[in-house]
Amino acid sequence: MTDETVNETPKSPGAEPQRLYFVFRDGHEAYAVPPTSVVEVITKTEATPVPFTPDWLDGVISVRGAIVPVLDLFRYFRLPSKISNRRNRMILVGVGPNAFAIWSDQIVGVETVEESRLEPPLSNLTDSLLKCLAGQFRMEDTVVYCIDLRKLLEETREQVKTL
Amino acid sequence: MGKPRESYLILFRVGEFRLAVEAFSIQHIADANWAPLAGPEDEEEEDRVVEMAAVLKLPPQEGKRTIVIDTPNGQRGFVVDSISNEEITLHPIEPVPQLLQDWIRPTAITGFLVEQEEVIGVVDLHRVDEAYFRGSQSHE
Repeated sequence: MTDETVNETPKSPGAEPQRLYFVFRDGHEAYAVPPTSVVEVITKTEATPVPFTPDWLDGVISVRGAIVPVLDLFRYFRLPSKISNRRNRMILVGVGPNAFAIWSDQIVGVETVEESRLEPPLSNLTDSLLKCLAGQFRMEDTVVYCIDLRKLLEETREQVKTL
Repeated sequence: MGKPRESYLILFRVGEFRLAVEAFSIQHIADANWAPLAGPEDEEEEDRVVEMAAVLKLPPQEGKRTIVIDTPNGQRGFVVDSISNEEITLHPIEPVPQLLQDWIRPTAITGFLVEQEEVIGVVDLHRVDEAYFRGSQSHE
């Protein structure tokens, strides 16, 4: 079962299929993940750096005594815009047995997206972002990237093997 | 994921990193001018004293203390900025989550000490020595 199928909303006969996404922003970017993967939103402004890790691992935090790594999507996706200086919270997500946190500077909320709104990825995206995209949609003028969290973890592991 | 355990820890600082090492894993702590005993190996004496800041890819620091370990090739000293705790006490160590283990190369962080809100990585200097100076594990 994929993250996306979990989040399909119940369909009435003839109704267009819809998906639910938890939407948040980090700087100029907006991301969407399945709401079922979101464990909690934490108010934090810094992580403790960990040596011997890639630059996209921002560090770790302690959540009720448990160690949680903090992944910096901006750095991982090698985005060309500026990193947000308003990061003040983290999205704690769970993917199978793994938990990790992602930076955010604004929580948008849970968005219902009709499948017809989902677009193929733009060709000018970075390779690392394209590999982890489950699709994208627009909210007003903003393109929201739907992140496949399982694929993201697979890709991070592959990338570390090559370091 | 493993279970928490306890160990005697020496806390130290290198640049932005506050780290710990398990007391039983080291030979002794010396000042920054420490020199190794002459060894039978072909390694130069200066290579046996390592700036921990360089290992962590940090700007050069003015190291004040040297943590000395015994390796199969003789002694090696890691120069650090400072040692934080004069009294070595028992601390609980949280295990490294599996996901994070997948991201750490070399796998030289063996656990974390959580002190209130602060998280301190526990470093295995023998694994650092093996990875960087005996070439068994990729680190680039």
